[in-house]
Amino acid sequence: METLIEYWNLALNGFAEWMTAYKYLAPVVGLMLYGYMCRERYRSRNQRAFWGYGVTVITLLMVPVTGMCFLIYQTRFYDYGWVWSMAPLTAILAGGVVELVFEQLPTETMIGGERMNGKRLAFIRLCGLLAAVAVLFMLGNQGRLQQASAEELQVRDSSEEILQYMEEQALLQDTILWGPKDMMQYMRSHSGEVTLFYGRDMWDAKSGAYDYEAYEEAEIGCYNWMEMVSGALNLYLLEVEQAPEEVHAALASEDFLQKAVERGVNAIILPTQISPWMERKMQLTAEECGCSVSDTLLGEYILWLFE
Amino acid sequence: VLTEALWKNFLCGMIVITGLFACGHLAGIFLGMSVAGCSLMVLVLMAAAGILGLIILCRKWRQIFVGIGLHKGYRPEAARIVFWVLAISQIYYVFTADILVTAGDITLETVNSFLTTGEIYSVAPLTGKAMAAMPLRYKILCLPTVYTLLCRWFGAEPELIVNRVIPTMVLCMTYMSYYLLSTALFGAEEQSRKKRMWFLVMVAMIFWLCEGSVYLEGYGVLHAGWLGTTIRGCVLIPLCLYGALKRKWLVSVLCILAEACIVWTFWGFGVCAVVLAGVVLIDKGGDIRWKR
Repeated sequence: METLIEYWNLALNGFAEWMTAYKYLAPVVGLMLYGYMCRERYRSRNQRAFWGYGVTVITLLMVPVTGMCFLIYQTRFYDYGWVWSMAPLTAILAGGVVELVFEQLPTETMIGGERMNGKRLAFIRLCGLLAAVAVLFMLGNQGRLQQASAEELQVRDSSEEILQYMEEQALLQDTILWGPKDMMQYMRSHSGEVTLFYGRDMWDAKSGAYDYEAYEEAEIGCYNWMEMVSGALNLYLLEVEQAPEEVHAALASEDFLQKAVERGVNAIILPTQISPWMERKMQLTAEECGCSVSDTLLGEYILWLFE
Repeated sequence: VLTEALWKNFLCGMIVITGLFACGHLAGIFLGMSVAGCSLMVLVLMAAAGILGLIILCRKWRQIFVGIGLHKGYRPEAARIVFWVLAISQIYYVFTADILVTAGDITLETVNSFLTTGEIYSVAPLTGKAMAAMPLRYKILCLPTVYTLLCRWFGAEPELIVNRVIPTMVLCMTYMSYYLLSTALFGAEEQSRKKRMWFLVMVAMIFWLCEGSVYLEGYGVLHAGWLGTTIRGCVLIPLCLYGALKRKWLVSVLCILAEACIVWTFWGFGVCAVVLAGVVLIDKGGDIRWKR
C-alpha cells in the first residue's frame, strides 16, 4: 500500500514538475490533438495509427491513475521523466509541424479563387516552418546549450595533471586514493588502475542502484570531512577569519585522516590553500600509523603519499 | 537517394551485431569467460553472421540497393541542404564538445575496469575494489562489453570510443531511424519526399533547441549518446514505430530484443513492447471501426 501511495505521489508531483520544466509539452498536446482530429482526412492508415497511438499514450500519461500504472510498469529504478519515453515526443512535434504546414496551410494552389504560383506557396510554407522553429526556440533552450562549467573544467585539468604524475611515477597500483569527490570521479573514469577509498555511489544516489555496497559510518564521516575542507578552498583564499566554525573544527581534527589511513588509504589529495593546517596533522597521522608521509605540489593541489 | 530498404537492413544488422555482443557478454557473466575469451567468441559469431549476411545480400541485393544513385535531373533541394547543415553541425558538436557529467552513468568506469582487469565485473566499477554484490538486472546489460571490445580491437582510449565515436554513430543511426519513420508516416514515394525531408529538418531542429531537456531525445543524442536510454529513445523507438506502422513485425521484435540487451527493465518488458502493442491495438481497433 505504501508503495502504491509513493507511486501515486510520484505520478502527481512528477507531472506537475514535468509541465513546469518541459514547456513544449503544450505544443505537443496541441499538435497531437490537431493530428488526431484530422485523422479522418488522412488517406494513410499509418498516420491514423500513429496519431491514435500518440493521443492515447499522452492522455494515459497525463491521467494520474494510468500514469501511475505506467510508472509501476517501468519499475522504480527509473525516474518519473522516463515514463514519457513511451510517447514519441520528437516524432509527434516534427510530424505535427510538417502536417500542419503542408496540409493545413494552403493545400490547394488556390487562394481566394486565384491560382497561387509555386514560389508563393513555398514562401508561405517556409514562414510556417520558421514560426514553428521560433515557438520551439522560445520554449526550448533559447540558444543556450548545456556546457560544463569553468569550475568543472578546472577540476578536470587538475585531476588529469595528478593522474599523469601518478602514472609516470608508477604510483597507481597498490594505491588507495582519497580526495575531493569530483577529482576521484574523474580519475576513476579515466584510469582503471585507480582504486578509490569510496565510490561515486557515496554522493550520487543514482549510481547507488548499481551496487549493493554499503558504507560504514566512519567512511561517510571521512567523505563529509573531505568535502568540507576541500570545498573551503575559495573561502580561505578570501578571509580566513570569516570561515565558518565547523570548517575550523574540521581542519583542527585529525581523526578522519587517521581513520582513512587505517582503512588502507595511502594517497590523499588536498588543496594547497589548506596545507598550513594539514602538514602537522599528516605527520601526526603517519606517526600514529607507523609510516612516513611525503608531499608533492601539483598545480593547486598537494598529493600526500603514505609509505 | 538511399532507399528505405538499405537503412532498414543496416539498422537491423546493427541490432543483430548488438545481440552477438550480448551473447559474448552473457558468456562472460555466467560462464566466467575473460574479456579475451568474450572477444574471440564475438569475433567468431560476427564472422558467421557476416557470411550469412553476405549470402542474404547476394540473393537480395537488387531489393536492398534499388534506387541508389542520383536521379536524372536531380537538384539539391533546400530541405536537404538545411538538414545536412544541421546534421553535420551536430556531428561536429558531439565529437568536440566538453562532456557533461550524467548522474548515475558509470559506463567509462566500467569499461576501464574491464580493460584493466581483463575480466567482466571482477572489481567494483566505482571504486576498483573487490566486487560486492551487483544486481543481475544491471549486470546482464551488454553495452560496457560492446565498448570494451571495440577499445580492445581498435586499440583506442575508452574516452574516444565511449564519448566520441559511439555518440556519433548513434546520431547517424538516429537519423536513419527517423528517416524510416518518415517513410511510414508520409509514404516512401517521390511525391512525399519534401515532407520526409522537412520532417528530418524539424527533428534536427528539435534536437538543437530542446537539448536542455534530459528526458527528450535531443539531450541524449547530443550529450550522452553512449547510454542505453539514448539508443532506445533515439534509434529503437522510432524504428519500432516504423516496424509497427508498416507491419514489419520482425523489425519491431528486434527492437524489443535489443532494448532488453541494453536497458534495464527488471520485470517490465520495455518501452518498445508498449509501443508495438499500443500501435497494433489502435490499428486493429481502427480496422474494426472502419469495417462497421
